[in-house]
Amino acid sequence: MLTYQDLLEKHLNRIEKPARYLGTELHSIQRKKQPKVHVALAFPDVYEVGMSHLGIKILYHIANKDPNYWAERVFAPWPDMEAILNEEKIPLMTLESSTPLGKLDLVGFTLQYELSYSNILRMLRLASIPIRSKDRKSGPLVIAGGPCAFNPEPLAPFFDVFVLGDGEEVFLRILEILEQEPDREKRLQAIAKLSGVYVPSDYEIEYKQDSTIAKITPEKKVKKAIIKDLDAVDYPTSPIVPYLQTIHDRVNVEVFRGCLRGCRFCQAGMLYRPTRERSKEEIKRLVLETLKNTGYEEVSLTSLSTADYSALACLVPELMQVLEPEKISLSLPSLRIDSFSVELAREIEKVKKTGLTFAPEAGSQRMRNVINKNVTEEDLLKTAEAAFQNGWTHIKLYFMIGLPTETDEDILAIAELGKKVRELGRRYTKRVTVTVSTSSFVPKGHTPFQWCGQNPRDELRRKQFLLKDNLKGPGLNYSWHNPEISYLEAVIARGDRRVAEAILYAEEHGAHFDTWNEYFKPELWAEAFKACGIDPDFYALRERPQNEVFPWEHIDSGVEKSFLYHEWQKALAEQTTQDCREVGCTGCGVCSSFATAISLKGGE
Amino acid sequence: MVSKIITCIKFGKERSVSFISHLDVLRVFERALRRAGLPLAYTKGYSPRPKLVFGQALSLGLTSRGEYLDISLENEVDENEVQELLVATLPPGFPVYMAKNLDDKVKPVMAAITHASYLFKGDRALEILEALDKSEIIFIKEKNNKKTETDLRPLINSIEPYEDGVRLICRAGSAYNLRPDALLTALSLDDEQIKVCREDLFIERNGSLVSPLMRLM
Repeated sequence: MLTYQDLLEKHLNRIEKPARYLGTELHSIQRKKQPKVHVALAFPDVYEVGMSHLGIKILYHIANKDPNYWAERVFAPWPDMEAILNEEKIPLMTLESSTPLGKLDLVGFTLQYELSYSNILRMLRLASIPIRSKDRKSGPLVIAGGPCAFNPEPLAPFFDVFVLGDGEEVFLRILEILEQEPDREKRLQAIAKLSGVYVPSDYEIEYKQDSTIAKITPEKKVKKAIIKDLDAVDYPTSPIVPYLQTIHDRVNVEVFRGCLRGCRFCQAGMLYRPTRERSKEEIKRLVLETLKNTGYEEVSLTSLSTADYSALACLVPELMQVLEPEKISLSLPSLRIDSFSVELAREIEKVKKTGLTFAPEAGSQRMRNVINKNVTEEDLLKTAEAAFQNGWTHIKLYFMIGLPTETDEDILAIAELGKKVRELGRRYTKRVTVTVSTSSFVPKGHTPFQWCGQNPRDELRRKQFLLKDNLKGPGLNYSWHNPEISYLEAVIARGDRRVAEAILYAEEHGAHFDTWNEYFKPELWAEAFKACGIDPDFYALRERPQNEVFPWEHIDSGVEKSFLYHEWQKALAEQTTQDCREVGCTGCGVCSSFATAISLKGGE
Repeated sequence: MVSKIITCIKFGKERSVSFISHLDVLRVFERALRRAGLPLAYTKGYSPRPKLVFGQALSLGLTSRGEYLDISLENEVDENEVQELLVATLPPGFPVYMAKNLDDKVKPVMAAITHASYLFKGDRALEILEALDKSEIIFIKEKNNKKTETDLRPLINSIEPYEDGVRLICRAGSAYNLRPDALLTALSLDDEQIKVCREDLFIERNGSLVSPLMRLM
């Protein structure tokens, strides 16, 4: 049996980045003895993307701590390697030991974005694992987790099991079951009993004449798994150090999980409630230990909104005191729009000065109230001014277009804001550049906007042109997203089980790496929907009535549907909802559902 | 006043890491040196980086027993300690054979290199010996629709049988350099499964080849 090393020797000049397939990076886990439980952690995109993902690092670490377990990695092979695997008739293998996936106990995929789904099917196909769960009588269990598991339905026929919510504890329970129980069927039965586990074949969906869902049986909802105390779970301080430069090639320490700002478009903000912080001392320990073990030159404090960490004002200077003499830079991936954030940026950019990015998300105050992004134009201008005063010359502004109730006035307000920031900058520097970047809004399940329709693609294009025409001139840049990609994302994000057939059709006919412009084929997807008798507009563009049964109705994030609908109504009335940390409980339901509470350990 | 110092290390690249590009190897060492806790000297400016100079880039797929790296340190560390620290922290596949402290005024290793020796193994490796009988070996390189012809023969010092293959000693460095894959192409041996290993790098001094570790001021 050939290994990746053999394939590289044989076909070196055909492979663009051979270091993707080595599997021998520093801190990668090798086992001499066959482990009791052998699994693969699969990320359905190329190595450099997958290796930047925190979830896999955490699961890799907690599984491999036990010498009886071996969790290896597998990523989507780039088309050059895929061609070689096909030619050589070699099934897809794990990186560390070149073991075919079919010989493992379990293959676990992470679902980070909908457009990676075609890659999942391709990876199963390359591994010669039957693609449909019902056709798998032997071989590994195929499971999935991650944010997209909260609408598992478009993948329901392909997975034996989905894990919802925080995966650390559930994953260990699953490994224990695999260790104790050799029979595939009994393993599945035992896993199905764990909390946070959804077995799609246990559920049946009935549809109405108008194609909406009539009934999901049984009525029992599946609740997500939750880690109440982040300090209590193990976090990797010896993560794999890749040879290749990955997207986030640095020490990543998660400072908290969850976010309570309540932006109505944000799925992660709803799914990962409530906020649970790591203590400041624990974060410092993790940063220093990881630096010592990896030798990285950069540290990032990650979360959904790092500036909201309750003890950040103490943590950053304390860390900088250690990092600066070692020439190690610190980055905060999500800055808030306030002067505190500029102060922080000034503190951390002692080593390296880069651009500053802010996300007002919408151009007009009216629109920001609709999406509950609670910042004012004054906040933004003050923040930008502080940045210019402190020597920054390049500011990036992120917005969304296609938001509910949006008018051309709201679009033009984006351009106005960009220009105002530029004018402000010119008072301080001649070299000012303002980059305005827009993505197209994709309504997601489990958010207040799950009821609303996406803008049609032509409408999104028209709005993009409106911005292009109004963002001309020196010092202004505009970048936008392909509306075709956002449309497909919207179809799948709120898709039901019937959409699965179209994903399979598209993959069979060549779809893969759909997030990569050079591989994305919108015509192929249009053909797939047509062939499967699916109207993609039904999923992407339709506004839903209050009582619609969603495909994810039986998946329980803890946030109540009535709260989400109330938020949707408030959005339409242009009313905001404050962060519950500041104004008290806003009634989303998550704390009572899990008998837990917000945990702001940083401030202790 | 502590004077800065160059510690030159001689290391290898085994088969398992032969597919890591030169730039990636640079990062491997930057991080290993930081993990080792050595007192690295950094460049000035916005993005300070450790001052590292490699002997010569090695093509992807080649193994080596003779790579060199000049590390600029703020103060002197015992040579054996440097070697031990690096051996302990480098990923598998990068053996460290030796470390030697040099005055920081020596010529950087990249500029000093003049020659290299390569070992070729494989069924047809012995055919490389025929190169010695040729008066010219033309290598045609195509870049941006432009063909350039180079005669590789003058760059060859010697070729001799070695174990079950051959050893080539040739010019190397920034001025004149013979790439082993270019030689194989020019000899129409490039489709064969010939394995190439860089055996060592040298500096020419008074007509003989000496190790870069023996650099003088």
